[in-house]
Amino acid sequence: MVEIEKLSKRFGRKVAVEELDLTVQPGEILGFLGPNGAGKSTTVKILTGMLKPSSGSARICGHNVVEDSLEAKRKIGFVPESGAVYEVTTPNEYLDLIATLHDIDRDRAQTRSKELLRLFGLSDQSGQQMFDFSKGMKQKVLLCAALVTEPEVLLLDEPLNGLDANTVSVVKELLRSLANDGRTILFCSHILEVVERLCTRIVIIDHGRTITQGTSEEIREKENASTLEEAFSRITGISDPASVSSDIMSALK
Amino acid sequence: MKYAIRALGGNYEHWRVLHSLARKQAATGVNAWMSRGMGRTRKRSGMTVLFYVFMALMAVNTYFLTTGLMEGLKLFPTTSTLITYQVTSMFVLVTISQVFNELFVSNDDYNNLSFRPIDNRTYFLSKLTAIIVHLYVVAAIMCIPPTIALLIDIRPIECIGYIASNFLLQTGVTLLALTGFMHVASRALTKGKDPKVGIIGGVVAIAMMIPTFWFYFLPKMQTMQFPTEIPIWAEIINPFAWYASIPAVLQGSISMSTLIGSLLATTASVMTYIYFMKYSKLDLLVSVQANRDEAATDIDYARPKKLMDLNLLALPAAFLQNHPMWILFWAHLRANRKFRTTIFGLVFMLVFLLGAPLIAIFAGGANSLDTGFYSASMSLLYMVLMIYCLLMTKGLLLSSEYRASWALFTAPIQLKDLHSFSDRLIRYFVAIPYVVLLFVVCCIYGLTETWFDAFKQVLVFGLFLDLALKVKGGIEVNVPFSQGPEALGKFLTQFVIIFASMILANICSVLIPLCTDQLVGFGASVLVLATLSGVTSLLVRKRVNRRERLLEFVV
Repeated sequence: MVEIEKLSKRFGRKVAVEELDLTVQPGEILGFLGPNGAGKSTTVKILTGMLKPSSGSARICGHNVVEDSLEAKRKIGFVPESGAVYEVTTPNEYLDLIATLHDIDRDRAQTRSKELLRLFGLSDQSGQQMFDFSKGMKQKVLLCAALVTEPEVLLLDEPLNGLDANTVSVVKELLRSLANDGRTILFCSHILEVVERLCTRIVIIDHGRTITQGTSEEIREKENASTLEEAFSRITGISDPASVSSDIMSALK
Repeated sequence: MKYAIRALGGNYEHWRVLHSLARKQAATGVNAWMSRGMGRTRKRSGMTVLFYVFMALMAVNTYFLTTGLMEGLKLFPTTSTLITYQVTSMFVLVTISQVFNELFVSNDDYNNLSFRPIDNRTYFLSKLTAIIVHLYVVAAIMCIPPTIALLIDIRPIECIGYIASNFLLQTGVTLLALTGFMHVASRALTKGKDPKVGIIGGVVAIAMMIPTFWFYFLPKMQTMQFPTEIPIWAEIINPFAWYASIPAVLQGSISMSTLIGSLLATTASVMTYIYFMKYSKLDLLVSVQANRDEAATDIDYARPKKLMDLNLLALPAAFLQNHPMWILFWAHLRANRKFRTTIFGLVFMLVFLLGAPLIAIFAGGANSLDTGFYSASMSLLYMVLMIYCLLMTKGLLLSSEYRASWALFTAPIQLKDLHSFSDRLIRYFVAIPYVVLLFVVCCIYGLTETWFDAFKQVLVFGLFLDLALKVKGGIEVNVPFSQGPEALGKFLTQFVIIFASMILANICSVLIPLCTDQLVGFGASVLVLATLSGVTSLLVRKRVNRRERLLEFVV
């Protein structure tokens, strides 16, 4: 379970997150949406312990992310938006590193790593350094790393970046199964069709504050929109994407 | 310039834009990089001047304060010339390979230029012309202090020979080393092998073995009194001696040995330039990249432990191999060029500098204490280790893949445990083995009267070093591999570390003989240093705990 209460984060004068309240229940897949710079990644970074909140609190499975950070971190599996992995390592080494940092029994971690890499189609590359891996291959390694620790809470920031269509289908199905198994999933993405189909609830934030929340149907109804994409455009300020596009074309001539 | 470039077979228009680009890349090595450290980016020319002033200070300190150059030139001119040539070469090589690293082997070039219609000659000329000014300025700065020393004691004609030969040597050795580097890269990563490059690689390998040569050669010289002339066999196998014979010839000391040396020096310089000019580097970059994909697969994974195969390193490795950071350390060492350059660049400096003081010690023999050689040499030995350890603690914080360090910040492990890894690594792999080596060297070559005297000296130095490492660990608390590589390049950081090390080394060289002279003084010193170490540990632990809570991953 993820609980956020009046969470704020400031970088100097800039306010990235402001008094944000949010709860994600076990078994839930929460779609966490917002335009670029809305504060999604900052919120996720606070939940993972990468950033300290300026005020407010956040808890993972009841553990405060500041005061009881190690226990909170033990419950988390995280896929970052940056997709950054240590390219000097091989997938095997990388998963070994993550498992060791999470104090997971080596034999168990090794068996699980091997199986995950096989299922994601990376067995043949498991001993190669990741310098020449495609974005999708690195993303698969990150998903394996998030799963190898058997986390209770999954924080996924653009987890489908670079993945091919088949793997996207697999990951979507996997996330549903994990939610059914009682895991808590926070899912950040700009692919609204996926969010609409996958998430049980959606929260949209802008300028660090919650703008609206509910199920996909509820949000569409509220905004009187036929799709989530249309509702999102209205909520976050761009009322007519067609006219913006037309203006850009004019500028190019 | 237009005619020169065309005469050398380049395309002038291409050269003009590529040269401009290369100059900007060089600037990232010196100006922009230093400016970031100072928090400013505009006054580029000022930063370059500051960089050269810093180099000059380093040179003056090294020659006059630590190698005892003035004494050496009076007592053993030939050998002192060799020593200064070695030290100068080390500085020029390290500066050019570290500061201008991006210019020589740039991934940006591969990504942006490899598919453009640029011929290799033009590409190479653009790089060479961009680097050559900096190379010559650095070489000239490093030649100034010994030249001043020579002007005081020796005739101007010899001084001219000294400058000319030293200058030829520095620029030649640097170009050779670069060619050698490309050769190693081509052998390791490409199928095609160029025999000419192989020959140059061999020459470079010999040049790199010079410090080792001195270790074997000098003990023999010690037993037969210090020679005024270098034996002919030594002249031939030691490229530094080739160049050192030019001033001797100009001074009128003409012998078979000096004539052969001068001839070899001239030939080597000409050949180096010719071969380096012929070398096509862009092709190599393309083939290096293309052959990367051929890495072997390794499905049955075993944790990296190659260092364990080397018996000498097995003991320190055993203390660390279960630490999660070991995996990252090993992976960086194996695959990250910048990390390797940082670590091995420093190792190279360590080995190279070791040659100079040992020469001085051997040269002085039993009389060395009277000439001041001994304390100057010990000071250099101390300084080398201080600088190496302190810079390495900084180097272990850096990674070009620092963006991936989110994995460390989100892991359920105390960040101070990760922080302490680098400290332990340096202690086990560098500080302790080096102090033991120092003890062995002192005993074998009789630098102290008894083995117990040697033990006292290295123990006190070890305690000083321990204290310095603890203080450094408390000043900069961070997670290994979590900072961008430019952090080491910050001018102020390097300046502070190097000068702090120099001051500490000079203090050690004065205090240690005083502390260890009497048994009572030795006991008291150990007690004071151990107490200081304990108190420092407590203070550092408190500070690390406090700083750990503030650490954030901000990229």
